[in-house]
Amino acid sequence: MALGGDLSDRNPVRVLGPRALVGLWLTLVAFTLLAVRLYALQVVRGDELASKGERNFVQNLRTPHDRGIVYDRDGRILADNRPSVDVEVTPAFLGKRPEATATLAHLATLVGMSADALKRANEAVSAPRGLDRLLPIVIERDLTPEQVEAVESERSLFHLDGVAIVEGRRRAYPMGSLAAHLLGYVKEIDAGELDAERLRGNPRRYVLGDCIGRDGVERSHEKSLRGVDGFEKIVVDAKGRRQHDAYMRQLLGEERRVEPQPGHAVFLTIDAALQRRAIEAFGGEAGAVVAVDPNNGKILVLASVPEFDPNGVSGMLGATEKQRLDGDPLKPWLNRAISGQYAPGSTFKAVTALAALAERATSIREKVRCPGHFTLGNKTWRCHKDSGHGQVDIREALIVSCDVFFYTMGSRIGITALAGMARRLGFGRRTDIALAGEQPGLVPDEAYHNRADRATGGYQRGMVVNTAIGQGSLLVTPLQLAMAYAAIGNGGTLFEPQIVDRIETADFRVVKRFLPRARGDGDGEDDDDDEDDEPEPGVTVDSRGILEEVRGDPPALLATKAPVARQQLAVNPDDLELVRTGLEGVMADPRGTAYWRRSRKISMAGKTGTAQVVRLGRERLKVEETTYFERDHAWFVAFAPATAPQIAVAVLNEHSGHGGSQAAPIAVAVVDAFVDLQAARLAAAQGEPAGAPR
Amino acid sequence: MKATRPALIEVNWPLVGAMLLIASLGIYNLHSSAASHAPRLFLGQLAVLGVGSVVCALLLFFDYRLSEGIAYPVYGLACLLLLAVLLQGRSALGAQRWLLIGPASFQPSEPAKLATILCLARYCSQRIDPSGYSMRTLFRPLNPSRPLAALLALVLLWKKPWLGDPIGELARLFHKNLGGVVPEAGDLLWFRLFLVALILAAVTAGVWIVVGIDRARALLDPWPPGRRNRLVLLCVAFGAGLGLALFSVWSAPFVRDPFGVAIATLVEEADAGGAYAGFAPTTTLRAVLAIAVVVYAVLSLWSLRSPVASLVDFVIAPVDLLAIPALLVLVEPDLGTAGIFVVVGMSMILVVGVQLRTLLILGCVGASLAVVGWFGILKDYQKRRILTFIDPEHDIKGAGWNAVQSMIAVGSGRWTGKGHLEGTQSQLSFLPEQHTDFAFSVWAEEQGFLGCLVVMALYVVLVAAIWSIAAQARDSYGALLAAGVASMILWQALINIGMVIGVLPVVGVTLPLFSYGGSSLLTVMLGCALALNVHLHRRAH
Repeated sequence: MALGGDLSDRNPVRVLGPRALVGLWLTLVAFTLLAVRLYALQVVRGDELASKGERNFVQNLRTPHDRGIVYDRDGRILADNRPSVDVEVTPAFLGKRPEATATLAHLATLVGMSADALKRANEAVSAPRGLDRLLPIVIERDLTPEQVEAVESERSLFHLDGVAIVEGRRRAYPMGSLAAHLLGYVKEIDAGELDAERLRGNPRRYVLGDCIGRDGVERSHEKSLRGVDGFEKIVVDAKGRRQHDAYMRQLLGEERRVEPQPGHAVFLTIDAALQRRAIEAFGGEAGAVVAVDPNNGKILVLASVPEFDPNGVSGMLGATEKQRLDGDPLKPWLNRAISGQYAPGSTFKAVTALAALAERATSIREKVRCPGHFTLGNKTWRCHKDSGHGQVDIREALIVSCDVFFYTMGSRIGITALAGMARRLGFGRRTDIALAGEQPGLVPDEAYHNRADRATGGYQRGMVVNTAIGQGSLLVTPLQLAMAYAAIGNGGTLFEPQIVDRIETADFRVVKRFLPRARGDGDGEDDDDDEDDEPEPGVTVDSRGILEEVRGDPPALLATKAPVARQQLAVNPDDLELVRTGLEGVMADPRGTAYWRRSRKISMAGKTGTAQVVRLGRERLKVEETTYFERDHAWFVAFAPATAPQIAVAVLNEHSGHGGSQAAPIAVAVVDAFVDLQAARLAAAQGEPAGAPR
Repeated sequence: MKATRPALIEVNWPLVGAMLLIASLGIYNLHSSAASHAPRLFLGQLAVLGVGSVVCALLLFFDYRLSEGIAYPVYGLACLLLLAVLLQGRSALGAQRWLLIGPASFQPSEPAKLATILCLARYCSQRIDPSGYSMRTLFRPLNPSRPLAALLALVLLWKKPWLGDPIGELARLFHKNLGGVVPEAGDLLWFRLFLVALILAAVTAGVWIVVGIDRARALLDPWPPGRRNRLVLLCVAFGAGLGLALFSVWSAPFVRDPFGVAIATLVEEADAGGAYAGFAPTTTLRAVLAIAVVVYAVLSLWSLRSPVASLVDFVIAPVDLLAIPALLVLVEPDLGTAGIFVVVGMSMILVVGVQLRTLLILGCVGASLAVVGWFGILKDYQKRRILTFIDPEHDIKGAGWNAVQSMIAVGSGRWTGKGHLEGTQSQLSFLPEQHTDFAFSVWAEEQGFLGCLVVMALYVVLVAAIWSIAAQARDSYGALLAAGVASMILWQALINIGMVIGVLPVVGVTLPLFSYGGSSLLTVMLGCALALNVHLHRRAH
């Protein structure tokens, strides 16, 4: 080192020059390396990076589709879409986490969100990363005008950055609770369902925030009802701001939009007017009414009481309503018509009668003496009439609902024959109605008892005695009962219950028409594949070749005989006729259990039933002496007219007491309403012969 | 010294041409890169270019050696300006980089680069060592100014989150092992101070032992033989520190521990108890640091009556000259510019010459520090940050976002680019800082690979011209000056382009002449003018 610096040494030092030249060469090398890297980026990876760049600024803006509309058989709207005002947030514009949390908390107080909803919103907002943070998230749907005003006034003060009021679509059920169980409701798809969909490749293209059918037709026909979202390609800048249209055209060309396709319209077989009358007529706390066209299995009424309002449980606002429903001891969620399983009581006697006739265990000529009780082995069963019915034949036994007669029949034919007949009439297995949550009921046979009552020695002969009058382990659903009586009334064809008449596109071109189908005897032999057949919007419907214009079709005024190969029950027509006349007598014969409740308008055939819920002691208790949940279920199943019936009705009035007094009037009211409505329809058709009133 | 006026024909036209072309292309590019948010920005830059050209032309009429005389004052002024920025700068993007002078604002860190080059050129040109600089010459470990530098470095270590908190770690470690309890924040604070004092004492003791063992070596130090003055100086320095600490205790009722506030701010625990609310803590800290530096400088001047060269050698090592502005810039914080100070200074020192052994030692020390730091000190999040530097696509949504966006912009330019004003990455603001740090990615997107080659070729011409000027310079000052300017332009260009194309971490370094920024443009043009001047006066007259 040159200590102190030699000030006289000002000559260019020879070593510095070469080092500077080294610097020159290093410069060349360095820039060459940069050029190589640039070549790799711009020329080799150019196309790849350019497409990445395009993904930056092209955003697919979703144009939500309209969910398909659900109509009843006459074209009344049961489920529809209506505009709603939603509030959404864009995480990127909410700012960093503390600001975002503060904004959300502020928003929550403005629109009255629950703490739970706020927590979920916070999670939803903090989850996305990168460009996903530019996608808006709907925080609260269906704001009231007051809430909108509160949010907007805050926004006008430049608070609530990243919060926007947008218009959305919301499912609406104009008839309210009328067909709640039948229609079900929609709810936002949750993360688990979405994951499940994605595992299957997400063919329906669900995204978080989409609605999905949760129950009833909304769920079973989700495929048809769901449309296809449209897309609009837009150009956004780094802050997600939409650019001018001219600039978008310059970058993306003219074709920027894919229109959304609405979901298919689903026409139900339900008659909304009749359903309304049925619910009005139903006076009890809980129960179900099912009405079906015996000639084709089309469901006319499917009501379950108590009901809920699907408008109130959809979306986030429904949380409190949902809680209330969850806590109700009467279980309003339960669709009693298909998911409620009950002992059929005396309504099952028609089945026992058919079984006895089929087994030749009795005939119209045989009379059985009813002393008021029946003894088998060391056990004694009582008739509902303590004094006994005296000598009764099979027809009279149905009319007066003599227990002893059917105890006798049951003990004669045995449980195997009885269970066989019950199964042939559709009990003990699902009817495969296109609704979720259907229960199969239970037809006990020897094997069942050996299994279930193993502790008490398996099957005992006395068990068939209980089963013969519809008690014991036997369980049926109201729908099964209605279908079975429809089969008895129509001469022996057991139809599959049909809830959807046809599916049409949103502009009313028929996509699929559901034809009546008879049910086979066997289990699972005709496993329905409706799910797969179900037409999806977005598939080119024309390619299916089954399109037809229905606009000009006159409406079906009266159900016509369906052109299907009728699968007869393996039951002698004479036996059927005998039972049918017996059932007719229930309402026509002054001794009949429902004679005093008969219809003044139309001849009816039916059967009362009073199903014990709790095995009481020998003493019969008055209704007042029992608690609600111990009281008997009242049943009434009927069809009308008594010959060549056009409607079959099953009414269950839970814990209300006697079938003749508590259920029969409801069924009669439904049938009367049906008659009135048919007459009105006929009149309307004659008044307007050409048009097709929708 | 008076040189005859050289002919204008002697001007290095390739240099002038490359410089003006790059600046013009930069302004053309600015027209596009700022189009979406400040469409008239390029007019201001054009004005700066005009003014700068005139100033540069005028400068050619003076001999560059005049700058040698003012190198130290200019350097001192630059450092004061950097200090001023820290004390009352205008902050942008969370960093204080701007100084307001009347209606104009400028970034003192830009001219400070040139001032540092002048200063280093003067300093080193007077201390050419044909065998190269040794460790000793470079760092002057025996110099009593080292403890102060160490203190400064430690204080900065606290403040910089990306450097971790080694002292805090150490303090926690000791405390845990000694007492087994987790200390309270306040205890930890004073324990840290104690630890710093301990480290300083150890370092000093080591120095004194070395000196005591090897008197002959001590004689090599520019300090005059004899330890009296050195002792006095050390005592004064420690006394000042102690006095400051005691003052902070005594004045507690009135100002509640200003020294503590300063340190507490450093360790970012001041807000915990709210005890220090109401202060402007960073200002206090910086004031304390500034006072310490000034006191130390004044004491040095006062206690020594030796020739100026000796004084400079006593107080300052070559690395200090680049470390002081670099640290001041680092605190702003501006990691990129601080790095430029370091690499430019190191390049100049390399041109002056460094012993091979010293280079090897430095390499080894650096490598071992890196290994120890990686496995011993750095926390996971800090490692992740470094990994993101190395591979931006590793964390595409987070920290690597800027780098990835820039790579997308560059790559989508392909051969010929999308055309002026047509780049989507730039016009839709996907590029960060697109008219300053990322100006080149706008250029790459809109002008393509060919456009980039043109600009890079111009840089090669410019830098090569300055290097050759350095090689032909008439004296070592001129050579070092030109080498400094060349390395400044070279390093900034390399780091900026490297960052834009995703091979270097994203740090705030502008592309000289090309990026928007008046201070930067003027500084580089002045540097070029100095190099031109060296060229004009390359022959001894």
